[in-house]
Amino acid sequence: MPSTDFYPVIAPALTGIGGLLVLLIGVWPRLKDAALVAFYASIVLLLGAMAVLLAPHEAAGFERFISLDPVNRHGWLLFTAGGLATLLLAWRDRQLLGEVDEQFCSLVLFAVTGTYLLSAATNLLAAFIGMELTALSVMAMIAWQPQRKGAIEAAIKYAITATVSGSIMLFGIVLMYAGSGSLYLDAIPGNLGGERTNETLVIVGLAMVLVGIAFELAVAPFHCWLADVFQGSSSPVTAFIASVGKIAMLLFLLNLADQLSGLWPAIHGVIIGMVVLSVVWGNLAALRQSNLKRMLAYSSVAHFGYVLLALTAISGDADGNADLLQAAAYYGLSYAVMNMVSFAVIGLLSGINPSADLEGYRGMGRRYPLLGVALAIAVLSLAGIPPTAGFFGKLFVFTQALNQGQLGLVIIASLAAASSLFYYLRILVVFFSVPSNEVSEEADIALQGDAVVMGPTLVISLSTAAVLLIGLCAGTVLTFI
Amino acid sequence: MLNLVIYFPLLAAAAIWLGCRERGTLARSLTLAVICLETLILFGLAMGGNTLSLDAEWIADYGIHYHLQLDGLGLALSVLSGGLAVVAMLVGWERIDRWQAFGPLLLATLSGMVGLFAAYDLILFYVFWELMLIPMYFMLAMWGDPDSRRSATQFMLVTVTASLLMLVAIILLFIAHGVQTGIYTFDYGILKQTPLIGNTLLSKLILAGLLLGFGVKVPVFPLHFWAPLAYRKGDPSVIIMLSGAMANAGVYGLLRFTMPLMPEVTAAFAPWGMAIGAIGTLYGAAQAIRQEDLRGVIAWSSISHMNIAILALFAWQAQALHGMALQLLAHGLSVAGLFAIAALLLDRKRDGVYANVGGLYAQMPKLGMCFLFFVVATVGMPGLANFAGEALILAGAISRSILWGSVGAVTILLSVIYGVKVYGKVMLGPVNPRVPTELWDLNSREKAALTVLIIAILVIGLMPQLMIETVHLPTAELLAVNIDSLFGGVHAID
Repeated sequence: MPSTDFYPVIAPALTGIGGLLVLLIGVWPRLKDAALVAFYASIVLLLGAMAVLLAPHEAAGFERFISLDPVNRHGWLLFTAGGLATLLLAWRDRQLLGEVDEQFCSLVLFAVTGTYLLSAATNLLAAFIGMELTALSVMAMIAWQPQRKGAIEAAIKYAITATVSGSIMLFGIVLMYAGSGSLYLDAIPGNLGGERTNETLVIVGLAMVLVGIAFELAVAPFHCWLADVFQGSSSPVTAFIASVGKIAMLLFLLNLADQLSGLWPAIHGVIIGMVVLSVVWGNLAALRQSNLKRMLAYSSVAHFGYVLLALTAISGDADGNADLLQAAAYYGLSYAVMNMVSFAVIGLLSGINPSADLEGYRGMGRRYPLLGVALAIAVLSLAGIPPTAGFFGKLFVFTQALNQGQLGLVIIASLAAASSLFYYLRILVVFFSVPSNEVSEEADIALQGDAVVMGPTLVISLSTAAVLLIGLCAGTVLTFI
Repeated sequence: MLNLVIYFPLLAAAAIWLGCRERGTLARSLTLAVICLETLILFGLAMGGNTLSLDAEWIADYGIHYHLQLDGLGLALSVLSGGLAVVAMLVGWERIDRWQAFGPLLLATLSGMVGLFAAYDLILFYVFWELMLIPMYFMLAMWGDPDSRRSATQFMLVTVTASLLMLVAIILLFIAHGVQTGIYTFDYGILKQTPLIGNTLLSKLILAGLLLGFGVKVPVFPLHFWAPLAYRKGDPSVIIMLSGAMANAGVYGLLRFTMPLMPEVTAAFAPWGMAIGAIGTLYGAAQAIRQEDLRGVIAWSSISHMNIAILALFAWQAQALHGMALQLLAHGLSVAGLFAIAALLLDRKRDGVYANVGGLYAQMPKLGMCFLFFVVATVGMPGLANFAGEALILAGAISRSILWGSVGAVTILLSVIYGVKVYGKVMLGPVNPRVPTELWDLNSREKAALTVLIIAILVIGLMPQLMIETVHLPTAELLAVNIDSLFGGVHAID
């Protein structure tokens, strides 16, 4: 029976309507203070977080559309935090200076609303709506300040990718509906085997949905757009894509795998192919990059390869599904926080090195020791060095995959991880080697006022602490997801 | 207390990194103070003779415990690491620049080492294992010869690849143990009570992974390829830590985690292990004779001596294991002494290539005497530490396998050859015209560093019983796992 709990809709409604209100405030006569708008937007996000926190802990569904269960509860909190962090980073960001107005803030709110819907969807259409809402908002955010070099290019690439993936996914949804007669995730397995259902259609549809998701997650071989988009967008937006957009998509994928675990073995081959290609190609391509943002983009391809590794063993009769999904969710969480640190640091240094070329960061870690430590922790975590979150993510995923007998895949993944260390260490070596040129006084972030540095500093310190704590207190974190 | 000795250097490292941005000399003094204090605490604990332990749940879902236990062997190796860190600092006092960065890295490495020797949980062990590795990479890459970046990267890639495969093996061990007993845990204390039974493909894979991970660090014979270059290019102070202290971690890991956890498959491998150790020893010694520079000789001599420890390990017999513990300490001290000499020559702008040195004894008799002492110790002069270790090892190894024991014994002869050769080329003979005349002999700082080593070598050499008692309990405990019948069929030739 569809239950009509209203708790799950409060937060999306708050942020959605809040986004519209923020737009209204912007066109209000006499009110032209952008700071006020950003402030209101933050309040809206905080209210959304409050609504999530105050909702009862039992899983509650709304009209078989979205459902708030303990896992995506924490997902929603993460997205809210990510949205707040994006606002904090974007406010006074050098590349976006003077351009963060009511429209940008409302876009962030809409994108967060989309991630709420996407991650909590129990209905394929809800997922599609959420995905498109996020994608459209993010596309506009990428093109923000269009005269910036590469902004339009990145936005167009993202738009094409999002459209293609959206249409493939929609086609997959249609096929699944045609094959099973239902759009409700929990009803699809039950319907199969009955009259007028066609399991093959459902499996083909599922594979197409998976390809659509793979486009959005930028898993190889559907990853080509990511590096250009990361490079072309401003760092706060990149941070949002990496830490919020992708994780929402991942949560939906995990939800899908959980609900349709019986059909999952049919698409194992597809996933295994994606895993191998992603971890190998992502890491090898990252080795060749000389731009930090592009490097992190390819590293992201590899990281989602590791995440998918956990999904290669999902099947209807295995009892380890919950553990596999938990490991993947943990990995996603750790990926979100460590990328937030990296892109916040890139954003903070964008005044000194707007292009994010690796060479431009020479000696930055010595010049700003705290910033250097934060980046070092994030990069070591990306490389999977203990005791950070990234290490435990890999440990859990590898353990679960090995437990399901995926020895070959795990060995490929660990060899790829070893080669990834090469470029992660390059980042650190550049950051901590002798500076080649002096930083102009105007760009020196140590000399700038509080307002410029405070937001990013807050984000960096909180998320660096999170990288360490999620790792050290992994036992506690696992009980939440 | 355990947490204190492990994290004190790490916390100090953070404080020094953030507090001494432009003040290298202050950072240097503070680092020395911290390391001395740490070593003294560890030494006090070692003298106390108690086994410290601490156990708490860490990640319940995966059976990971925060389990620390520092016994005699671990303490001895920790004290050695601390002492070598002091020596490394003293001989690098003037040569190393940017102490505000080097000091914290050194402290972090030390923290990782002490933690590693205390870890009683496989994942915790792995955490410390990597913790000591990362700062080591930076020390290798950013200090040392101008082209040391390449050798450091090679070192890092090789060790991390091996470590990750070792992690896979550890996870497989966790699963295999879980399947066998129903208890899924990474806790060493629990794992060793029910060792893995059977010589199956899975246990062979696990053993291979562990051998790879630990063997690279030692470095065991076919996995040693990174070592000569890294030892030669890195700054000698760093190499003292790498070859003297970190290499021990590899042997320690093999000792702790292979035989006790999977006795059957390790016993089946033991003859091969002895062969690898013996061949590695021989090969290292032969290579050492061929080298044309001081650091090359020391590098290969170190590889040769660490492989004797592997020979002892796989002999898995009381005498040999005691000898191995002594050998680890003795090798750490003597190789540190040799690299310290190399460092002092580097301070005097001599890189130790034979073509550029010769007849240095005439100009620096004190340094020459110390050098002679370390060479003699390395060669295995009775009364010095290495002799005690090697004698026990060879006695034990020959009782297991006459062939491989004898091969090990031959290398002592070879070590005399390269020892005499390197000393003659560098110190004796006609004065090389390219040697500038204004070489100064040891100053008091350098004397202090070398004296520490010399006294330690003498003490261990003259009173090996003292050390054996310290390490006896843990080795006896490890031996208890060994059911002699396991060796019955394998060692029929004895």
